[in-house]
Amino acid sequence: MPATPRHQEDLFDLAADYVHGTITAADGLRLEAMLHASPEARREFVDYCMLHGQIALSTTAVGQGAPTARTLHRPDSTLPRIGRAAAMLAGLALAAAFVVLVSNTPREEPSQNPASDSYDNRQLPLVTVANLQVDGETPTPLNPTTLRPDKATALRSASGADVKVAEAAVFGVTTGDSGTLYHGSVQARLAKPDANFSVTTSNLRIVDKGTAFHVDRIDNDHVAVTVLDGEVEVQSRVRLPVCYWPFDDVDSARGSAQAFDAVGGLPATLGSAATPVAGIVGAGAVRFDNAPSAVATIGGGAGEQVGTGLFAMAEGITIEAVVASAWSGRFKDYDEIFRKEDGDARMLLSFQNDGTTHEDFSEPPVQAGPCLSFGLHLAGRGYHELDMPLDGVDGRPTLAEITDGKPHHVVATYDSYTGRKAIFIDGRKRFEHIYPVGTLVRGGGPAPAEIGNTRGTEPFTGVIDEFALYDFALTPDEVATHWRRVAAGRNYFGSEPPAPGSPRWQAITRLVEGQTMTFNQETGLPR
Amino acid sequence: MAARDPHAAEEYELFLTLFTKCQGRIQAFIRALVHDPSQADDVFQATSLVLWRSFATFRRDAEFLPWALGTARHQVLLHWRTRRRDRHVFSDDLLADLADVAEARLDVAETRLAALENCMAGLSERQRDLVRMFYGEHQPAAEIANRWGRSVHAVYKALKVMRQALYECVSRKLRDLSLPLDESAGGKPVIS
Repeated sequence: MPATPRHQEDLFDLAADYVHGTITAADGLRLEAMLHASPEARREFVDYCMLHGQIALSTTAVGQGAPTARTLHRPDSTLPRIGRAAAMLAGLALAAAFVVLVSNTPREEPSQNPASDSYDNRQLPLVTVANLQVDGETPTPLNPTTLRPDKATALRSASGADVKVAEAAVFGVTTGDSGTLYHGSVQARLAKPDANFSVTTSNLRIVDKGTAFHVDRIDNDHVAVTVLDGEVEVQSRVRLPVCYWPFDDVDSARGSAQAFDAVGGLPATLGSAATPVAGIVGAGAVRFDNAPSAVATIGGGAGEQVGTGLFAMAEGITIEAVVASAWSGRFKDYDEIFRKEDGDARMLLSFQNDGTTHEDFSEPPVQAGPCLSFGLHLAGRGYHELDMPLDGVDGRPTLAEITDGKPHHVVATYDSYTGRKAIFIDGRKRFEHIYPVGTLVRGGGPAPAEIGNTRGTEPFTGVIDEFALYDFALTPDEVATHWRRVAAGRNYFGSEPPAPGSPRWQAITRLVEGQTMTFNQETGLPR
Repeated sequence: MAARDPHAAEEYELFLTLFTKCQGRIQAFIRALVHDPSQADDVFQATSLVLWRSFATFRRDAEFLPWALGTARHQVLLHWRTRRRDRHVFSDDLLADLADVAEARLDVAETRLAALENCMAGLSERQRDLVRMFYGEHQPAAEIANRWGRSVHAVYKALKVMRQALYECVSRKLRDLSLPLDESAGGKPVIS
């Protein structure tokens, strides 16, 4: 149905509020309904938004004086002369910017890598998430870290929340607008109207809705939430991945083969030595043939600094894949399943055999030899690898078993709530190391994430399927369930994979001023 | 720094040639779907980086723009997805529909920009100040309101009125393009 002038006026009113960011939730739903109902409304909305964007590119906005009337050409003609000149200038400026950009952007060129070997151990800039305020002294900038104060401590988050951490509490300050409570209690109050803050306790998240609130972790299983002012929403974690490439939908129509993340839509661009093949699970998988271009490069998700971006998974992480490996196991041969090389804040899961070259990385120390390595930077401890020897001892697989050409379910988890860093093969935990509870992962940052390689130097040999990343640790039961499903030829999640844009958190209830409620933090049920 | 590989230099040059030819449309596409200018710039930058990083895998006999728009579309969806965690944004289905519309409208994006420049000549001095402050200098509405001695609501209202007038002007000028050509203007429709 074409939009009538009245409809159009209504549409433009809503569109204006939308582009200003002032639209209410109810009007947002009304606008969405209007756009769903009418192709004409969608066209007018896009034209309106495009106009909004183009005003910012106009000569008036960018300060080139008052515009003058000019000849306008048909859409299929060349650009008007002034427009073409402007476009050319913009192009040249962009080209200049790109020369700088590409000069600083690492690709598959070892000469640009300041590392002396496959590890780039630079310390990249860390995000500041809060300012610590101690007894009226000058506030101290705070990177993502875990506070264990011996007296009550105050901080102001980057988004503008005043947070008080109680004596003897253990509280991880993870981002500018969120924190993680491991022990004791914390209280948050918004210092300005556009501030926001949430507190996570493993499976629960308490989100302010313009409020002040108090969270008390009363034991390992229960959390008490008290609202001092306003309202909070208590949410439970939806235990689905942040990204998941089933590799069933490789698209070669747009110039290069791309596989898409079923949850967030991130493309993974396949290099020429990464080939779509029949799936171990589902329709497709990717074969990596041990060449420099054997890679699936994930497009997007990177942050500007360490501690930002989609891969900044401070509280916990799971890397999960189904692999059929033909790794040689030879000295100095590395096969990456996944790697993101943000200096010493890297994260990786790879087959390695580097003798004693990087033995300082191994935690716990292990004998030199072929291993499956799970590397993370843990705040306050530095970068370390859980190097699981492929020696057939204590339930660990041998090199021959893990490279027998058959598919194996490989899962690496780290959980800051338990401190456990573990590797699972085919549904069973095979190796682990335990850190102090509350030790945060330091990851994220500007480097591209890569499946099956790192910077063209450590290509995987074999097939990778069902690659998933989570911002929490799967439990041993969940890993075992996923393995059973994979063994039955199904994906990790049963039948249907997660829908695009699946919510990460699900509302349980809202609490208002004066209310206190206790929740089981695993089930989310009130006590 | 080690000397750069000549092949890599050729790659840069080819990429820049293709990218600069399409960057206006890529930018228009992103700005049609991401409305905050600084966020749109971030998405544009992320798109540019992804395109460059994956350029080695771009099939040389394929068209660059559809490939680039595929990446831009995913970056836009990712942008909205990361914001969905804490606030209401459009559903993925609707965002995909809007992206389809935006892609289809790119054919006339440059003509629309030229028409917009013409239409802006008709703005009042105060409206041009508003464009410069809000769109050029990214001043918040509250700051402009303070400078004008008006309410924030009044500033938003002024922006709304100005945009509506420009929308109607641009639409009218584009409609004029479908009229018979004015021979006295060298066969080109003249905008005044």
